[in-house]
Amino acid sequence: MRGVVERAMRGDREAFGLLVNATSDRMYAIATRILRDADLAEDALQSSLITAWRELPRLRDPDRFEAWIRRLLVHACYAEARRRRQWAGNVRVLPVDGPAAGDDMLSVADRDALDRAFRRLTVEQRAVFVLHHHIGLPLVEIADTLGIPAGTARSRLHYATRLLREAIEADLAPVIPQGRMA
Amino acid sequence: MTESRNPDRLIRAWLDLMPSEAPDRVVSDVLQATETTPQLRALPRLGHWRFPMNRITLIAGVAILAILIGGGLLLSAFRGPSVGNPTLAPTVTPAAVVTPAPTGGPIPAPLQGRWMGSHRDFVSPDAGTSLFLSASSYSMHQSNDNTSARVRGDASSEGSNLHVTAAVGDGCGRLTEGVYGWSLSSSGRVLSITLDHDPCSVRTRNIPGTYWLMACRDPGTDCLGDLDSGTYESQYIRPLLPDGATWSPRFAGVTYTVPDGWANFSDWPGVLGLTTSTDFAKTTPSNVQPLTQLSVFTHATPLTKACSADPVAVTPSSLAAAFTDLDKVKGLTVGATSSLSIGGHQAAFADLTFDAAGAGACGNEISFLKGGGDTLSIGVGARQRLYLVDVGEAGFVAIWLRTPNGTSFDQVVAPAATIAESMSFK
Repeated sequence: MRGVVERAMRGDREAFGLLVNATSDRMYAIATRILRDADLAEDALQSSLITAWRELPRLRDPDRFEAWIRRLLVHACYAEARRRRQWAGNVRVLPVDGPAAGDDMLSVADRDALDRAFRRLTVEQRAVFVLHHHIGLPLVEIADTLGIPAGTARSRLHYATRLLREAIEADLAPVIPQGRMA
Repeated sequence: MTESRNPDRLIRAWLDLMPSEAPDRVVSDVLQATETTPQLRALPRLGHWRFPMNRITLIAGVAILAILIGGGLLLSAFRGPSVGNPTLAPTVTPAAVVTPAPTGGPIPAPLQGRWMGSHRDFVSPDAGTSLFLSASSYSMHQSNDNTSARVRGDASSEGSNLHVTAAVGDGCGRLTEGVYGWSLSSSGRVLSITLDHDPCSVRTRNIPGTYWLMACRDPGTDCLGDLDSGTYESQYIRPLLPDGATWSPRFAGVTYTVPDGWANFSDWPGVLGLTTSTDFAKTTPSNVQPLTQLSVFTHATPLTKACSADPVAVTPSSLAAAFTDLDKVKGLTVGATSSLSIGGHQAAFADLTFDAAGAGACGNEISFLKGGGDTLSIGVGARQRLYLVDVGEAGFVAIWLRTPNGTSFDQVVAPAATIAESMSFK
């Protein structure tokens, strides 16, 4: 990988193409989960990859290419999210036709509860949540990737996780019949 | 509860539902774009730099350098002071320093770019606008929606005039031409456009005004970058919006005045960030957070649970109660509080330090305040100042001076205090 990155840093487009092919699926997966919108995720992916191409000669450590490009992607997601203001509530929810759509563990009500709770998160909280729960990055690495203090990463993750857990737990709670509440 | 109904498993399953394969079209577009996108040159490594130079070239080089420096000083003496106190009043006319293009020529390069403007009547109520100028066109947008132009057309330059025609969205047709005067501040950061003549009323209402260059480190982030000394307005932050209310952009949510040497590095619905130009210069498109910052956060709430980022259940009822809550945060030492008024609101500030003994098991960094969707922390050796402003229904606004160490704090606290106390909210 290091050799390919070094070639791309010297302007080798073929090498950059290899890097794009190796990373774009993973990046797109992160962007769709942070932004919850396929069009915005495509824009964020495209914008971050073009920035990566432009900025590659300034990458100081080729071994940190993946963390570096992930940071570019998250910042592109921030920019896209703010442009469209999707966390203000006007989100176009992605169709759930992915490979796991048939998973009967999740009901429509679960998905709806999680979608609604996720929309209440800021894009920064979403980024930390996705990098931790979907990509599996430890908090220290997330903080390093995003250039934020570890405490900030921890608090964003804590808040996001708690909100989503509450959403799903509320959905799981038994329904109290009307007129029986104190 | 069965294992399959475990909330964490459900959340992970929900995350897995989203697509994970990048569309081929996007990848091929990127690879095609690299054909026409030049790479930036690598930054020079000064430690290894050597320049072979004999005595004659050395003398010649020094002479040329002296001429350049002397000429530059002479030029700057004639140029006078840079523009001060930029305001949105259309009467501001900073000195033009760019040589205008000849008749019908392209828009001069220093004008080409993205500019921040105040509210215009073709965007949502209260929202700001942005103006894009290219070599041959102009377009105006709501500030947070740059893909959708509200007014757009051709543009050319003649002397210090800007000619605009063929607008989309102005209802005046292709044949009506408007002429506007322009001038640019000596720093190139403040553009003033004034009406000369234009039969199209939509354009006369919307094009004239003062615009600030949007020069964020990350071009996708809508902030201003380096600032001239003067008074500025934010685009996005809404300090007076009650917590939980639906956000929409409002121009001038925060008005602030800066001296020379400051920059605006972020502007979000809950956070506005200022920093020194020195620290701004060290940021990059992929690392936009400066070490020193004077930032404004909405809906500030102390975090009083030990080693936790959970806010207290009830927002403090007064400034005094808020600082009392902060004083209870393990590992945080709150200095004496001082009262003042900021933007006509009651406010108070205190200096903060980290108390390692008090932090105990909480570690070398503790969180003490939540605001604007972010969490404020302090670590070993840091000194900070926190202002809290009581903005009524919207709770408290925090103005936070964060520095990496005591020396930096001493250097910036005086100008930062002046900036903080200049702020007003809308």
